Amino acid sequence: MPRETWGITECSRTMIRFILFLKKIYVPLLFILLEALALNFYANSTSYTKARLLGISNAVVGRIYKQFASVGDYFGLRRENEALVSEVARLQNELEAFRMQTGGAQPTDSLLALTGEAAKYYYTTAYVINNSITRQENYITLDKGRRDGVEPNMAIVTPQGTIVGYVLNCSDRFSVGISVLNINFKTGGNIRGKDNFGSLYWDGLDHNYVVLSEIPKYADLQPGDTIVTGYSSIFPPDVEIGCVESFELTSSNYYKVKVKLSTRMSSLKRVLLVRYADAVEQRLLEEQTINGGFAEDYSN
Amino acid sequence: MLKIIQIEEERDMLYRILEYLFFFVVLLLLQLFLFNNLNFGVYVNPLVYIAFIILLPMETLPVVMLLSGLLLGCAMDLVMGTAGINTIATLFTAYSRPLLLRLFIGKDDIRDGGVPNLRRLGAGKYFRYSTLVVFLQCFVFFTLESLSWDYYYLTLLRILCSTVVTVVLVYFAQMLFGDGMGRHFGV
Repeated sequence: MPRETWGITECSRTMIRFILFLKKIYVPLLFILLEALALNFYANSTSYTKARLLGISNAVVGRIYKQFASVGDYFGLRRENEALVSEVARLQNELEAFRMQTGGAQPTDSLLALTGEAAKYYYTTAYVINNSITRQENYITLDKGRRDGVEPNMAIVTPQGTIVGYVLNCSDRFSVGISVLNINFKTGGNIRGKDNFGSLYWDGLDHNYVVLSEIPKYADLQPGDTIVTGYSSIFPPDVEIGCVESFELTSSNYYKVKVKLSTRMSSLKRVLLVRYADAVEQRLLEEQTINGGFAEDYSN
Repeated sequence: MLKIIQIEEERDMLYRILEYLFFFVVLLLLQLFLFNNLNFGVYVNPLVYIAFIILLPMETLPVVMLLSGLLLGCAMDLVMGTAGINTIATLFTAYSRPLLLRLFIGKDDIRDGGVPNLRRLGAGKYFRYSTLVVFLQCFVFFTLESLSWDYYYLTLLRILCSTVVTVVLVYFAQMLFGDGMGRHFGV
């Protein structure tokens, strides 16, 4: 009997000591555990994860954003109207020029007759209800969603035809797009009227400027040149990005160009959404080429 | 008699929890609809929601601090679409708050408990304490956000500008809410 009692007390004493020890350190343990979980989640997150998170919260607060945006709307009506009228004038000019070229035929008919298929780009409009410029990864919330025909990878441009971003995630009524002011944003950029292209990104330093890198040294580059979108399965060609502010040689072969954005990202209101009809086909073909036999044959 | 005191204490506790819940919701809405939309540029991005951690009562248990930090961080991550940075920063701040209190405020004040607002602590102690908490939060947040050591001086500039603006806004928050809180408790 005494031996057993001794055994039990010894055992329970260690137990108690262990529990006391746990009680002393469970807060730091919990802290480390929670931080590790959060860090893990952050490290494995992509722009799509973030857009999805915003999509979830939009289901709750999207309507409120919409209310706020519609109140703020009245203050910008005058400028908005002026921009629309000048855009109409520009389009009229373009139409006139097109009519001259086709000799008075109806432009839409002749276009259909030429290509024999529907338009390559489909345009629709949306309204920006939430937009930030202060973070390193900025996203744009739009008031149209899947029900209105919006889908991921549609380009977002201003009515003046300057770049804004593209759609990442859609819910039924809202969609979240990646802004050009997001360090994960990347697309191709051209100097208008020339063949040199480079890759365009935001360095996270100033919301008025983006960076165009990998422009070859022999390119004829002048401050004030216009930079437009180039090869992309998202943006139509010739969407204006901005003007060359300054440039410098990085390494010995490439220019790094500082581009002043044409879009005023801090005061976005109405935007156009553009769907490139052949985007899926183009992307599939590109993926097949990269993953398929061609690349492997080449390496062998 | 003892029973009555106990009941009163429990009722006060309930009031306090309700007040803090209300404060939590107000801060969340303010951050979401006001402070996140102050587009002053890349350098000013106030994280005013941290006022919740700053103004939790001094006698709050460390584990409660940690869990409030978790809740606050997750809520902000969800609405700001930041996928974890808010949680990491807020957990860190909430965990280190007891240490900061001990450093800046002194054992006597902490033992008496209460809401660490301007009226309770006095201007000197309050500003030293709140500035450091806000700085910690901003430091972790912006360092993780930029995730690179290139241009770290610019990240530092973001941290400093945002800290200053946040401290001022937290000062207003504690004037509006912090004074009301704790009125029941004679602190």
